[in-house]
Amino acid sequence: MRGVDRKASRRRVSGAAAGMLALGVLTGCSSGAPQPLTKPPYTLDSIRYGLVSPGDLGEGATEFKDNGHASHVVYTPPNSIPTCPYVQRSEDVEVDVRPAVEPVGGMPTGRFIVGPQLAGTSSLPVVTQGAAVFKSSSLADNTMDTVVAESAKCPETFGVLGGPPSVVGDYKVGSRQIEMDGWKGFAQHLVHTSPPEVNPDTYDDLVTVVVHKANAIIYVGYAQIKAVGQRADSDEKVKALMKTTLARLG
Amino acid sequence: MMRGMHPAGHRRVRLIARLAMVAFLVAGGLVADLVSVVATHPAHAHAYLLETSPVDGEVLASPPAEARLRFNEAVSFNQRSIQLLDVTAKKLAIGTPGHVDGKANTARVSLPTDLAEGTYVLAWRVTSADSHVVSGAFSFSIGHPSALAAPVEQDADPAVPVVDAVGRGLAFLGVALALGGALFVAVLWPAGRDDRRARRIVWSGFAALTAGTVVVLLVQGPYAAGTSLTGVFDPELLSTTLSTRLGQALLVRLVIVLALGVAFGVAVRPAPPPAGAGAAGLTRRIVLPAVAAAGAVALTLTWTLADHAQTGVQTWLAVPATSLHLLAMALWLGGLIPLAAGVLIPAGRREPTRAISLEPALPRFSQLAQICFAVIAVTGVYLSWRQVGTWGALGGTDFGRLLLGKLAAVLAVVGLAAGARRFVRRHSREPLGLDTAPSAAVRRLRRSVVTEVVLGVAVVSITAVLVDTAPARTSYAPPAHTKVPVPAAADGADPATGPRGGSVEVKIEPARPGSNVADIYITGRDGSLVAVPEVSGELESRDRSVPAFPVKISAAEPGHYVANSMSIPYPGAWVLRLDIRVSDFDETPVRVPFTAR
Repeated sequence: MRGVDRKASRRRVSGAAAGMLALGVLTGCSSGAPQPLTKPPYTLDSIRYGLVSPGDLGEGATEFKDNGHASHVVYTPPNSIPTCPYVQRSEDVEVDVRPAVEPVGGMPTGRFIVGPQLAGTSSLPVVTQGAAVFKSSSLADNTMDTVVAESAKCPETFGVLGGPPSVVGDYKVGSRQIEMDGWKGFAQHLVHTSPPEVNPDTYDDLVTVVVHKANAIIYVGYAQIKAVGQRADSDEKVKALMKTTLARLG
Repeated sequence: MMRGMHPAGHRRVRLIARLAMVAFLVAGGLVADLVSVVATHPAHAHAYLLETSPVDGEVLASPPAEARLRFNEAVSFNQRSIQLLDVTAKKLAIGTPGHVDGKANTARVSLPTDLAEGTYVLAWRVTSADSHVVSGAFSFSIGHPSALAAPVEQDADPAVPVVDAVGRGLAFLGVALALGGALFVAVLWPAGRDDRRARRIVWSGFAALTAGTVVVLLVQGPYAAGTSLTGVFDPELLSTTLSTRLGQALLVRLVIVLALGVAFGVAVRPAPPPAGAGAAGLTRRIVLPAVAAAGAVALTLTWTLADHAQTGVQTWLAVPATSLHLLAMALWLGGLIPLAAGVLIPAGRREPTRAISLEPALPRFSQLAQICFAVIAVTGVYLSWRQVGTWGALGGTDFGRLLLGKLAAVLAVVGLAAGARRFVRRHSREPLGLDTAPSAAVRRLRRSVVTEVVLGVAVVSITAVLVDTAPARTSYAPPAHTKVPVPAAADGADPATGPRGGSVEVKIEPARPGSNVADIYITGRDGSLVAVPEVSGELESRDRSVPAFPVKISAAEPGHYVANSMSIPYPGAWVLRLDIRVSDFDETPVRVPFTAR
């Protein structure tokens, strides 16, 4: 009888242990967080894991390196970090604000564009991105401070009267602090509406996210064309996208 | 009457009893003082700042003579609690902070009269009525604002709250062993007084309780001042701690621990033959139980009069409920450990080295545990509701998640305890009682009780962190999200494309004191966004107790307007009043009520 009791007890203990193990495995499996592919300090190669790839954006996306031609309409150096896009084309801005900051003491990756193969025929956004890695975290801190200070000067509204029709119009700018997976920075939302006589139907919905962690700074510009009357959603979409990409960096 | 007792021994017992009574009365007086403080100054959760002078962001023509900070409840602070910083974050010499006459919720500090032009930051760090530290900062300028070159650092050394939590956990475990263990050893288990191991467990409880209390007492100073652990022996900080309600409660606790320790020492002394006769018998039968019962109640009050129980809603009920909860936990867990170590583990051995009887300790403890669980369940449900308030707060706050973890552990304990209760009932019915139970069943019971102990310690550890966490009811801040119809008065708008017949949707995040972001979407009848010439806004308190604050609103995409830095001064009911200009000549007001937590 005692032997039977002991066996039953062992079976119960084994069952409980198996249950706990199964629960642990299930918990681990269901967390859904991808394993990081690298960790700080970052290098020019490893930081690329944190950039958006065509696979992240969806079917039909392609990637190319911008050597200064793709962004010639609002030219900023390919190695710079955006702080107030388009402001340099404005005629009515009174404050002295730089549209981008070139990192001092940092090694930039260059600028990469991920978007649809044929612009205008796809619902895919256009992502303009890059990163800079520094020898030390303090150098990255200093550069980020400069970027944040410069972006804080970006006016809430400005207009562009001349130049290519695609950039003429009114610009509205708003910025919010952001933190994802230990990366801290800001998300700057820019809405561009064309003059009614040029384009009364759509507007540009652009969010530029600049985040910093350890010895690196990453920026991602996410641009969509939306119909007037639709809500802008680049903010939510770019955050969801970067949650995935930044998780790869650890 | 004095038969069987040496006169010297009798005098010693009487002296000890008197000393215990004096210590207990002193402690009781201090507890009564704490109670009166609570009765006359009801408070709400953590303190928050209501208003300051100068006002945040104010530009003054000349340096102010002093700064004042008014909070929603009484706060305590020390000499380093208020600091004035210049734009480079350099600390400037200021006067000693103090309370404004007769107002425990208002602090004042004199400022230098020779402040140069520019911006200054006044950083503050005060202790709320529930012993939690809150901090913040505001700025003002003289002449003209200047850019701040350095951030204000106010965070304490991260090791300080960890040591504080360890101290609180140690004290919880100690109170359980001291109260529950003493009750088990001195009352429930007749052989317990002679069991050295059981007595050691109780004494270790007293030691842990003393050590934990001293740790919390020493760490509270650096915690409140935002300094490192090196400040634990700073006399100034210690003196400040002792002037606060928490410091006094901790001091009272130490006195009560001493009194209870003396009482336990007397209780477990070998009984004089014949027991029950004379003054010694009187001491054992009446004085000791009275001292122990009053001491146990007073001991629990030293927690509940200085923590979450005496802030927030229904403090009159929360203080006794929390005290009962703590007492029930202590009696259950504290009794369980000597039961396992002194009775079940030796009895469960294949070949016990001595005869161990489960009677009458096990059935007595089982009955006590049943009562304790009933008390824990009733008070636990009430306290959970009181501290959490809503289902959303349960999963949406650290406090709520910790509470869920604690609940899971408690449910597991209840399951194990139910099994143990079944064992006692089944085997008590047998003619020869519990001691005839098969040894395998006793060993199973032993394993179950040891698991209960482990889970009980886990529950105590979670509780130690829980009492250091802001209650979910006050910390839960779901984004305010509301939609209100555009009033019919929006007649000036184009009926086809204007907002007439549509709605205004407002999202406010995080809807709590401080800087918030408000997204305002104006939609037409068909649900699409509608651009209007202008949207302006003001924030006003629902009861209009403070003047309305202007809210700066900027346009985003057509039909979407954003207030990027809407400042909410304090929690409560607010109204975002929007004036929507729908045409060059017409404007329609929209009121959006919301609650900031």
